[in-house]
Amino acid sequence: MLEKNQTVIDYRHLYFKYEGSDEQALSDINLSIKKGEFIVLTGKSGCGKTTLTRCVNGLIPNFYNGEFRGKAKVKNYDLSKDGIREISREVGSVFQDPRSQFFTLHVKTEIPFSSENYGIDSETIQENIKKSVEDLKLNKLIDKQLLNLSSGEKQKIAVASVYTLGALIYVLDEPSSNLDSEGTKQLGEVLRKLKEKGHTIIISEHRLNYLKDLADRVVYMENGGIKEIIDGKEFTKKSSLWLDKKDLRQLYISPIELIRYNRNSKPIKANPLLKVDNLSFRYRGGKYIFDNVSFESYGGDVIGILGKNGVGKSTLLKVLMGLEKPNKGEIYIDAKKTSKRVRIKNSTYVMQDVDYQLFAPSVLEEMIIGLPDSKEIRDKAKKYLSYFNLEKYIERHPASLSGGQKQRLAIAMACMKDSRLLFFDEPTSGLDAANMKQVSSAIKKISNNNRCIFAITHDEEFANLTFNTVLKFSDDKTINYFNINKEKNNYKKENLA
Amino acid sequence: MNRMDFKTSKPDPRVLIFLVIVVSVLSCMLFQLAMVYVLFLIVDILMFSQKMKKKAIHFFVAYNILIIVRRALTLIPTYSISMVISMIIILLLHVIPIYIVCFIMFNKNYMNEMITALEHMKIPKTFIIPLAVVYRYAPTITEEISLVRISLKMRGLNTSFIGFIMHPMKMIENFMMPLLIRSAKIADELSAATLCKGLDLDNNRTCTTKVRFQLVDGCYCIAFICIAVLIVFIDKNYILL
Repeated sequence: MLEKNQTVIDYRHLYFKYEGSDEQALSDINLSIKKGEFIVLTGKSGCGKTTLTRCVNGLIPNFYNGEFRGKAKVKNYDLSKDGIREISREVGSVFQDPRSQFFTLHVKTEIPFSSENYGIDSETIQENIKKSVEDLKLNKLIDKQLLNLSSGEKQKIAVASVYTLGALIYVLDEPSSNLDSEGTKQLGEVLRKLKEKGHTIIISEHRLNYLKDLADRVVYMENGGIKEIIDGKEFTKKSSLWLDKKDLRQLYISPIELIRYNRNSKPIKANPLLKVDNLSFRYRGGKYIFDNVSFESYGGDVIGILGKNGVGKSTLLKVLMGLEKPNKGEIYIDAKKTSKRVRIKNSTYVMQDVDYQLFAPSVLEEMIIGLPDSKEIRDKAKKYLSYFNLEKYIERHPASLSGGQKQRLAIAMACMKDSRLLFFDEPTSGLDAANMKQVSSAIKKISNNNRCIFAITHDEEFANLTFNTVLKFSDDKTINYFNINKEKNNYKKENLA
Repeated sequence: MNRMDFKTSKPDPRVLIFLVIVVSVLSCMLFQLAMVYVLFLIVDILMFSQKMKKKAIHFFVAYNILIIVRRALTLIPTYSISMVISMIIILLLHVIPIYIVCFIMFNKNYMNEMITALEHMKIPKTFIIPLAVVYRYAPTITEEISLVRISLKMRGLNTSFIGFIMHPMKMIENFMMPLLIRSAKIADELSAATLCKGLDLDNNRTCTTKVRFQLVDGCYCIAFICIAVLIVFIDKNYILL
């Protein structure tokens, strides 16, 4: 039995450099974590927090090779000597992408998977599964296929798998990256339960608002080292200005308040750029996703699209972009009826996961795909790349860029096409505060009177910064315009530090 | 709260694996297209009975369309083109029954029971684990491909079948790059996650449910062999249609 305040993780002068890299990923880490502590690792993108989480479950140095120096002990295991399998018996890991951390296809088989791998007998496993289902409230999910769960439910199952194994230390790497606010709330509740039961939790995160009441200590990292360790309660009192300066996401985010739509400025052009008339759509054999929707958008509009998960925001985009034909209604661009083909020609789509859109071996070539190869086009591409601070990476392979850099590249690529309609699907998921602000200002910069920009998002900070007008999905299958109440929404609430 | 039961799923996973092997061998052995059609009907009815009604009907319609198209081709004067398409169709007609039983197998077999069943047969882990990964990845490939298609379409690049015929290499190149990048990323993340779940080559796994090859399962296998033998017999000795 462990005493209450025994140290479970101990790092002394830990250094790590990834193989083939010039920069030191971790430098002189000194940290001791006691049993039952809830530790949050945070900092800008690239600060080393993910790398440090890999030192908890043993992925460093056994899976990610490189130069490893210093002392690292997790429970009784020495990271430089013991393997991932031994360490993972005591340390459960939850990763960022819910899609690629499951080995099986069903909830029923995923929850006991790690227990089976460790040779635990079937009676014990069955007991543990029953306990997990009860403690984590999984009754509704137990018979489902993993494919059919929402991202938030998937992360719950990932936690349940560790809970069933009985590991007492949890390490999570940006688990809320792909989750909407409902999913994040669910994750927060699960973590609270784990904390109450005395588990030790180490979590690296950008989004801090759902953790503010849970953290015992917040470790702020910069350039691979620990800059500051702040007591949890002290951290909740930090002002939004302090968080801003450190490029961290806000702790207190008031939900977006929508007020009645009121077109303030007169449109420059008399005619709307995009007009949607009595639009209805459903997939074959399914129910209507939206019904009798009408709205108009003018050149220069930057419009957010909000709504609960699964309500049909991406489907609306698909219809507007020309990938699907509406069952009823018409879509007009510049007062002319449009077919799917015309809409595709006039639209540019930036997907949530930019990896699906990268085809070329270099950043510059990526910018000019699908366009004629001329000096003009190349100059234009270089101009946009420097506009988005990507000129250093012109010759690099797009896959080697970081998440924030890929997003900016996707926006730069969108500019090349000069489309009337620009559609973004969750452009800031997984981005830290600095990158999120850059994406927001980039989107505002590229708006002009000759185009309309639509962006699906559940990132409330981003929505507050970027949009004045939103299209919101209601429960009665209608979609309506609203304005964001900017005065009441002072998310820059000044808390006394 | 409903009581959870941990009954092992029947039939044993090995039964469906055996079915796939039997159907594959049969499909290669049969001479007459009419008998291949009979084989197709049998597996399609099996799929229908396994609660995959919609898919079974889709396959039925598709299969019959292929046969009609093939018949129609014999009426077209352009010899060389109709020959090529005819051969592709015949290949498809032979492959579809195999695809159907694989589909049934993927749907009915639970991953952990399948791994345990194969371990009981003393098949080495070095073979089982990659197989399990393919099994796990296969359902996601179709989704990945359709997402790449959307992205290509929006970039103004041709994704249609005709485009493929005209510029096959360019099409493959366009598809390959994002697919490879995605696959590399998924492979990396999946490997790390799986290692952290304790899967490795040396240690023995247990199973939540008791996987056992029982008399009932043996009877299924014998039934498959009998039907297979009957089909081959009819194929060799009687000429139909």
